Amino acid sequence: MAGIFAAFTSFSVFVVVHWAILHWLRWRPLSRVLNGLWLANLGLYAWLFWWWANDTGIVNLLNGLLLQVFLLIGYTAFFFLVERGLSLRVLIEISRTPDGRMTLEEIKHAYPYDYILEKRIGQMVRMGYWVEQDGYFRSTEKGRRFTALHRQVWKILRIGKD
Amino acid sequence: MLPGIFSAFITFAAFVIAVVVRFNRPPVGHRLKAMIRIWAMLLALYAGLYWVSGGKVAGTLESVVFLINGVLIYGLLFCTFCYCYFVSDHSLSMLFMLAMQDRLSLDEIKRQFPYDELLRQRMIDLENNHFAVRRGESFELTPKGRSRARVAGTLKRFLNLEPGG
Repeated sequence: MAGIFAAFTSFSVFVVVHWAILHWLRWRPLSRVLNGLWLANLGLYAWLFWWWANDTGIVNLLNGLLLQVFLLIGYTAFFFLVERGLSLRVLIEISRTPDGRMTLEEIKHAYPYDYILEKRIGQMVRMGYWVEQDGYFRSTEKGRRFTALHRQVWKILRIGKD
Repeated sequence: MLPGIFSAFITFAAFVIAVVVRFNRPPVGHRLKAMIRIWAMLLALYAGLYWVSGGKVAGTLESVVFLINGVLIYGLLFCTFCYCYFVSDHSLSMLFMLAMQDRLSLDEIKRQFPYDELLRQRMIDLENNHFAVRRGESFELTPKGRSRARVAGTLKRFLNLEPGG
């Protein structure tokens, strides 16, 4: 059980440290901060496991590691849903108007397309999926592989066909 | 501990197969709800596999923790699957990447994916999920939408992510 405790303890530390970074430091981009914290947290898990239960065996270690990785993925998904979600932002914008309603034009004004595009495209360029050349964006090799993978996912799961 | 981990992975594999089969038999309806239903139904398979592979369900704390540990892994695998699925299905970045042939300028992206159309589609989603209703030219939140907006706004403030989006 020590692996499970180590996983939950290090994950709790991760959440607190991430919250503190978001509040008191201006470290950006957010994805790079998360990547760095992921690595540091896996180190913390290994240390906690070694400290508490290094004699409980490899299954215990791997089980805790598995939980740890999935908890981090779950947190990352939740984090980007809250941070990036377009529909959530629209809901929040409407809820903050005095009369609780907005037209499409008002939504477009409060939440401009340029802002949305700048964030998404900036992220794709930073992550190495696209490069910018002479005012045009092109896919990198990494971007082409990622896109091909998602084309398969769209085909297998019939995404966009209902 | 091993029976729980083993059962979680086998059940998850069955879940993926079931989702693929279900999604290839339209109409699917609300896809997230369909996935949750399949996940919950397959908990019975998890329990069966756990028992068959020698997992104990006796009243000791350790056996209960091992059983829950497997369910947790199965649940977290489901969350990871949903995350990957919705990145593929809903992400704007993904749409732009799929549209890329040779090269794209910012103006071409705006022409291929007009904001009006994109927002209109999201508003239809919000209406279909009972978060908003249309009143003439305006959109108004339902009680469910207001409560979701309140939770999301609080989370954004808590994580210092405003305005985000």
